[in-house]
Amino acid sequence: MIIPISLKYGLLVFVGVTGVLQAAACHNNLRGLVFFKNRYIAYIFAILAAGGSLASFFAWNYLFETGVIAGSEQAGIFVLSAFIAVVCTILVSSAIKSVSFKNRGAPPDGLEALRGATIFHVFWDRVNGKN
Amino acid sequence: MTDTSVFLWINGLAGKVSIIDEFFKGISNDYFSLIGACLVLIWLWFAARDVQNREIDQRAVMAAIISIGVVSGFVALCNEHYFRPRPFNVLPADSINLLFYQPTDSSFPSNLASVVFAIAVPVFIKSRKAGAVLLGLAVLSSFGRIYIGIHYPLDVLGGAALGALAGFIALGISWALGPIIKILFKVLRMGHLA
Repeated sequence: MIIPISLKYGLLVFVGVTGVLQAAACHNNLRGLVFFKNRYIAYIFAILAAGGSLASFFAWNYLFETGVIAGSEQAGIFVLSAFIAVVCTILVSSAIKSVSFKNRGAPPDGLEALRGATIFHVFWDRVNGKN
Repeated sequence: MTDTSVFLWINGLAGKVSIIDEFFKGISNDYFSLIGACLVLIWLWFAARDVQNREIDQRAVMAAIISIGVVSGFVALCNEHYFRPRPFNVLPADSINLLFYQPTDSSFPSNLASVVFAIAVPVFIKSRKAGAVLLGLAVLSSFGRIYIGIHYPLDVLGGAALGALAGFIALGISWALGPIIKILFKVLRMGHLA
């Protein structure tokens, strides 16, 4: 099966953005966004994902010798892939940590809430009138 | 010293040390530095530990996004009214070390230099550390475009100047849109994304 070059580009952006999100969440102690409980494993995952993606872009002309993606197409695919990466990060971290953070209080505003809960927890609590 | 003679001098450095050739081919391709700069923006959005610094960083990211839009308009306008042939279209083939495929669009301004500088300048003004990384990336990738033989120095300098101008305009726009951006931050903070 031949994968179109724009799809390869989108997949590599997705992996890179996911890696950077994991690294930033670890750095900022946003435990509700991190996939792994162990901080070091999370960092290793982030470095492999972001580093692998960047290395592929660095070697792009060797990996994919034919085809060029126009600037506007690049921008569109980047925004879409980055958006999907953010949504997937929220979904996956919420699913993995659905039973964590049991004794959580009212979450603070903004990203700080993700230090002690996943986004699903925060919205679930909001729907149930806990905050 | 003309644009062409500076081009020939810089491009003349290519083809001597293969590891340096590979470095500039990688860093100056159509994707690496743009994606790298965008990943730095995503890091900036989420990484600051306290609210005050994070808001400064996130304002820098917003200015950079506006700046990309502004510089795209500048580049489109330039391409509409002016076409400059690439060095490999004008100079004798044996005088150039071409390490890249042959783009067909106008040589002036350098699209890569303009966009990467448009991202780096507003970030540097608001957040020095990340801005310095982005400016370093912008300078290296822009120099690389001359090194690999697809731009004249003036194309890259013009692109950098357009990018910097767009950066300052974007900072002005984000300042003028202050109340709207404040509301946007409030909404994003309610959704726990800022």
